[in-house]
Amino acid sequence: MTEVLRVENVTKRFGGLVAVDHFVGYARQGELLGLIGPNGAGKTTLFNVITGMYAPDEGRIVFLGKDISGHKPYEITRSGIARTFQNIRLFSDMTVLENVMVSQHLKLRSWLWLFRSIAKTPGSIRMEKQMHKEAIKLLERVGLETFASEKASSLPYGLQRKLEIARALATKPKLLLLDEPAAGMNPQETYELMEFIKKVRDDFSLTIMVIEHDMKVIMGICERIYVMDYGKLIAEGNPRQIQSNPAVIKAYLGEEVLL
Amino acid sequence: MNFAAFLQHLINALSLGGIYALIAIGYTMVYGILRLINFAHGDVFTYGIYLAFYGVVLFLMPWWIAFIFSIFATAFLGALIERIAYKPLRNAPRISALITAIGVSFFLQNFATVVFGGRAKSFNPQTGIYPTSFLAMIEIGAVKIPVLTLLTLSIAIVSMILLMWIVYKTKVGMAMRAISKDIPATRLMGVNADRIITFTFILGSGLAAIGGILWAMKYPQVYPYTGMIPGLKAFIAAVVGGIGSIQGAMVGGFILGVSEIMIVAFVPSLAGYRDAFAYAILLFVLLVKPTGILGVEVSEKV
Amino acid sequence: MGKMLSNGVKFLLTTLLIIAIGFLLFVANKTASEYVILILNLMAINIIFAVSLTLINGITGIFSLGHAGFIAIGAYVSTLLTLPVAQKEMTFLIKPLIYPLNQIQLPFLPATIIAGLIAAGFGYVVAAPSLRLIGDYLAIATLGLGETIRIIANNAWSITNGALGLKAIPPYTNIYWSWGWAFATVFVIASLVKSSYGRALKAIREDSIAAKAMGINVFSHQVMSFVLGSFFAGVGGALWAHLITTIDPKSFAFTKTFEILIMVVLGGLGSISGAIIGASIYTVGLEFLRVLESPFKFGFINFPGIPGMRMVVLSVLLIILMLFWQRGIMGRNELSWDLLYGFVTKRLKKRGGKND
Repeated sequence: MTEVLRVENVTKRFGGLVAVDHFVGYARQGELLGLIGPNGAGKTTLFNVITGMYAPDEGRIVFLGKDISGHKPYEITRSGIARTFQNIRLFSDMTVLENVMVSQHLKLRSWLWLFRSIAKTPGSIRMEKQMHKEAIKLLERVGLETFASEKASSLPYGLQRKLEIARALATKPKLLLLDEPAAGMNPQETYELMEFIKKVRDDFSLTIMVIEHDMKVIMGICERIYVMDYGKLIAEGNPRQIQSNPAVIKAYLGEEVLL
Repeated sequence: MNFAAFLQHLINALSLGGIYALIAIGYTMVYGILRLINFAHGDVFTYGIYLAFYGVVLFLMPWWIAFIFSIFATAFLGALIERIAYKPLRNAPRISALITAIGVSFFLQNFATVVFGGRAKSFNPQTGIYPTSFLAMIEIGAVKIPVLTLLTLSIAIVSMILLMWIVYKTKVGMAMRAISKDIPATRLMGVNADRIITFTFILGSGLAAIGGILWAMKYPQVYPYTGMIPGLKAFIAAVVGGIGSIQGAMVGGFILGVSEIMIVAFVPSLAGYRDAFAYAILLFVLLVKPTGILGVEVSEKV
Repeated sequence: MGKMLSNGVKFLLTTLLIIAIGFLLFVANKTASEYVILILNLMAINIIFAVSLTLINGITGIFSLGHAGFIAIGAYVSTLLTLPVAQKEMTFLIKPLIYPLNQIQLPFLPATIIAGLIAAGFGYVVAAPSLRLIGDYLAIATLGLGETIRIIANNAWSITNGALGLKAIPPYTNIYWSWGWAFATVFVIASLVKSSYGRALKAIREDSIAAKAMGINVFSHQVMSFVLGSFFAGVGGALWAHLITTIDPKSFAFTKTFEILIMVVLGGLGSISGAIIGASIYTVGLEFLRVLESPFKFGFINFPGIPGMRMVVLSVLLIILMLFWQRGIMGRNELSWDLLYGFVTKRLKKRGGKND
């Protein structure tokens, strides 16, 4: 199976704080990975380094064989990595449909499209129609098409999270990073989300990496899990291995629990 | 230039810097607490001068009573503006508060034009505003320094020391510093945030009045737009020093005052551009360290 | 959502509207007084100012306070290109105008376009360092920029004639030029906003970090918006200079930016149709308020005219606007045929229901 992502000895510091400390990891095509650890362990920072929000101080990120360390976020998204955010960052004042269509803007590579769009050439009108059609189709696939013309901020919380995922999917990624997608959800919503993530992975042939605190989600859908604490990788393995790993238990509970 | 001239320019520069610092403190305190650029602050400065002027000319107060009256009246004006125009917008998007501040500034300028008249009024001893003894010169060897300049510098420094004492040694000051970090949390601790915020405006406006009177004694004129350019420069001083930091405002004020006077002193042909130096310094600081000399890095959480 | 009109119908309606406005302007040009024509010209120019500022501030979310600077550049460049050579010699008393400007005289259209391009060029140069800053810092930096341009204009005697300014500018601006350019401005900017680029700009305004993550080159799009807005600001400046026929650095102080800000906020920050409405109301309203400045009678009471009263009322209005009606007239929404259609059909349905 092909390796989609490789994180080689990545370190990220903020002044005196080492947020990510020589992290090593990889993701294979089609895997559903988990990234867990106590608060402040550096999980989101790792996502930020992978997606280009921060450049690594040491080490590098290799995506589909190319070194993408320190590339700009929009370049990395164009290469095929998409993400959602810990705190929902929807374009609140725009409609659900517009939120998804924004993700298609990266199709317009050359500035020539700017002039075509202003002059409303037949080519640009066709492109707009196509973007519209694709966006509606995507919304149908995730079950949000009835909300297409609603303002994003008017959606209930659970659907907002879904919309964020849909928006990320619209960038046609090969790797999808989800940052605490189940945060704030009740058990029913969480269960639906779990099924949704698995379905998305299968339907869109993606590789997915999930940061989560909700262990039901992680143990329920992840095939392989990375555990971080104080920026370091402290464990890696399948759910059963992680659950019985003493270092992991210590990190979460602060002491070794003797069974 | 010779040493005597250099010293004269320097002291002059420092006194101007002191005035800028006094005004800058008002900007930085308000920004530190409300994240609002109080565009009207420069006009509050102008009204400080007008109130002192009319205190003498209209109400026939002795000059020193008029000056003290002006300080309190201007402080009150600042509080009034806060209550009427800024408090209702405390939870509104920042751009709305900013536009309102611009509106208040505009209002103060035009109101002054209508009520006080657009023509400049003289603010000097010849018209009896304050005693002519202020215009004396002190001579130390070859160095000639106007009493006014030394007075300005001293009063500015004393005012700043007073302010620092209030901010760091009193309970009110502690509340002010707490609020600048986190308003809701401070409220939970039992602090009446609204009163403290109003007090901040009172302090800042009072200092602006002091700065205004000192300015008017130095540049003996007042007209509705007197405060616009010094106000803008003082705000730049606050940004340069680190917006939100009182010490930063003082440092910034002196930097701006010194560079303005000294650059023209050394390169007289640039005199027409003296107002632009502030913007040049601003641009430089914003490019190199946007948070300012004494500013604290605030990064957005991704 | 309700019924929507087909695109064909909407296009027809828009075309009809433009023709109707064009016809009205044609009639006005022939029959109205000079005063009314002046107001109409000012209205068109204010529309250009307001819509170009809306693109930068309202749509893209770049809080720029330096618009007056680009207007100044447009005004000065166009004037320096259209003034007859002899007039230039007469006007530039302190220092002669530099070569080759002192030899050139161009017709209005190329001069206006060049003015816009140079304003846009300045916008490009200025954008890169400024856009590194966020929010308030950006506002102050652009304010300082606008002021710096004014100060340079005040001191560059051999280019701008310094504080003396330029006079006897050929009065080229007429209804066709001003409204022609106004239509062009609205068309270009509205077309931009209704495209994928418009969505990208709005996304940048809503959340630039999320926009980055969705593959948008935020910086280049912000620059594009800034440059385009500056271009039209320059064009508006050119039209304005050739309307009022004298310009000097004082005309381009921060007050000018402030006036445009009022227009935009009144109409709704973030709406192009709002900017048009705001600019129109402001232009007309300002003239109405002029009444306050000369003596008038209100019922039994004689009011003495006070010069400057206009601006006082204006500023109070702005404060009241912000305190009670931040959204402005249109908020962030656009006036559209669908909106109008829905409004009309709802009214008709109500009327029909009552008759039952």
